[in-house]
Amino acid sequence: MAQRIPTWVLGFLCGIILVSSGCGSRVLEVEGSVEFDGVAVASGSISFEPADGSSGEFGGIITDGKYKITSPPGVEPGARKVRIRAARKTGRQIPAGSPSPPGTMVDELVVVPAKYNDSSKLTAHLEAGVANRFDFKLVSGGPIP
Amino acid sequence: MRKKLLRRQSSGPVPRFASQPGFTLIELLVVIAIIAILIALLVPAVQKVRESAARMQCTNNLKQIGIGTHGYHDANKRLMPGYNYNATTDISEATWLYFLLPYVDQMQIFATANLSQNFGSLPNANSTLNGFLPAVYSCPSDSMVAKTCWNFYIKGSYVGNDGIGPMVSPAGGWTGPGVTTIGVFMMNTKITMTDITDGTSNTALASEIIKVTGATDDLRGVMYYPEGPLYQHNTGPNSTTPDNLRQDACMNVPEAPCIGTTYTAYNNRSLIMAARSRHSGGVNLALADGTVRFVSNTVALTTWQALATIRQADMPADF
Repeated sequence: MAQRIPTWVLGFLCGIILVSSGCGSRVLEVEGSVEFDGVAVASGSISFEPADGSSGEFGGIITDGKYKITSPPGVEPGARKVRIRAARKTGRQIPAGSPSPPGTMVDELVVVPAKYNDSSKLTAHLEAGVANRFDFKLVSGGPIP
Repeated sequence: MRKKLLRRQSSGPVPRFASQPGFTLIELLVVIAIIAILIALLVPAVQKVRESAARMQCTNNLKQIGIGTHGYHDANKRLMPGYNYNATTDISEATWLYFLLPYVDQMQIFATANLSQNFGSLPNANSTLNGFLPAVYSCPSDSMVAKTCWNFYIKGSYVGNDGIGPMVSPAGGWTGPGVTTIGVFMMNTKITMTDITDGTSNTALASEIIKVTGATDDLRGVMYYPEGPLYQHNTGPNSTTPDNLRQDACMNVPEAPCIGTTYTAYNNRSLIMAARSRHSGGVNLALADGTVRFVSNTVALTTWQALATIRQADMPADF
C-alpha cells in the first residue's frame, strides 16, 4: 500500500505557495471624485507623491470626475502630496495650432489653477490594506479645501 | 544449483529488449517530459539574453549621444540649445538632436535641413530630415521601425533633460516667465559645462522615451520638433502618473499614460513627459559628464529631481 502524505504536509506546502505567490507584494488602493467649480472634471490626472520626497510616487487618470488607482507593487503607505492636473470643457471648439494638421478642432478647456498641481498643498494619508477614499472639490479662486 | 539456473533460464522473466524492440509508452513520455523541462528552462534564458543585448545597444547609443554632445561642446564652446525659436531672428525651432547629428556621424542628413524654414511646418524643405531614422537615435528595446506623428514628424528613442516642467515656451526663452527649474536643454539655451555648477556627474543630460502609436497621433519622441525630444523630471522613471500632452497628440497606453490638456499650439505649451523605457525596472540615463547609468523606477523623487537641475546646489543621493 502506497504511503499517504500527511494532511499537515499538504497544508504546509499550499501555505508556502500562497505566501510566495502574491501576499508579499503589497499595493495601495485609492479612489474618489474630483470636482472643479462644482462640475465633475471631464479628464485629468492625479498623482500621489511621497511628502518626504522618497520613492513611491504613483498616479492615474481622472475620467468623468472619478478616479480609481491601484499603486505599483511595493509602494509604502504614508503621507502624500496630491497633484491634480485637470480641466473642464467650456463646450466650445477651437482650432489647434501648428503643427497639428490644418483644420484640427479641439475642446476649449479651463484648467485647474497651479495651487492644485505645480505648487500643490493638497495632502492625503494613504493606508495599507484599506480602500482609501479622497474626494476633491477644486475652485478657480478662494481658499484651498 | 544447476537445476535452479536452468529453471531460471527457461521460465524466468525474459529481458524486454530481447523480445520487444523499441520504447514503451512510459519511457517515451518521460523523455518528452524531460525535454519539455529543459526547453522551459532554456527559452526564457534566450529571451533574457536577447533583451539584455537590446538593452546594451540602447545604452551604447546613449553613450554615443553623450560623447557627441561633448564633441559639440568642444567645437562650439557651449552646448546646443534644447530648441531655438525667436520670432524675428530664428524661426526654425531646430532641436538639440538636430544640432547633434554631425557629432554622431550623420553629416549627410544634417546637411539637408534648411533653418530658414520652420521644423514644425512640414511638409517643407525639412521633410528629408524627417525621412530618416539614424540607428544611434533608436533603442532596439523599443520599436526599431521608423514611426511618425502626423505622417511627417519622425520619432526617436532619446530625449534631453528639460529640467522640471511643465515646459513652456515664452518669448524670453529659458529665462522667460513660467520657466520653473532649468535643465540642460531648454528654449534658446547656450549653456557651457562650467554653467553646470551642480557638477556634470550630478546632472542628467539625456534619457529614454517610449514611442507610442495607435489610433491617435502622439508627439512623444519626435526628434525635430520641440514637443518631442525633451523630457521633464516631475515624476520618476516610468511613472504611472499620466504625461501632460498637446490635446490632439496624446495616445494613452498603459506603459505610457497621458492626458491631453489645454495646450493646443506652440504658443501655449504646458508639457510634461516622464522618462520611459521598455526595459524592466528603470531607464537608462546619460549624465552630463558622459557616463550612462541605469536608474531604477524606485529612485527617490528628490534624487531624481536633483539630477534635473544644473545649479540648485542640490546633490543627488546615491542612486
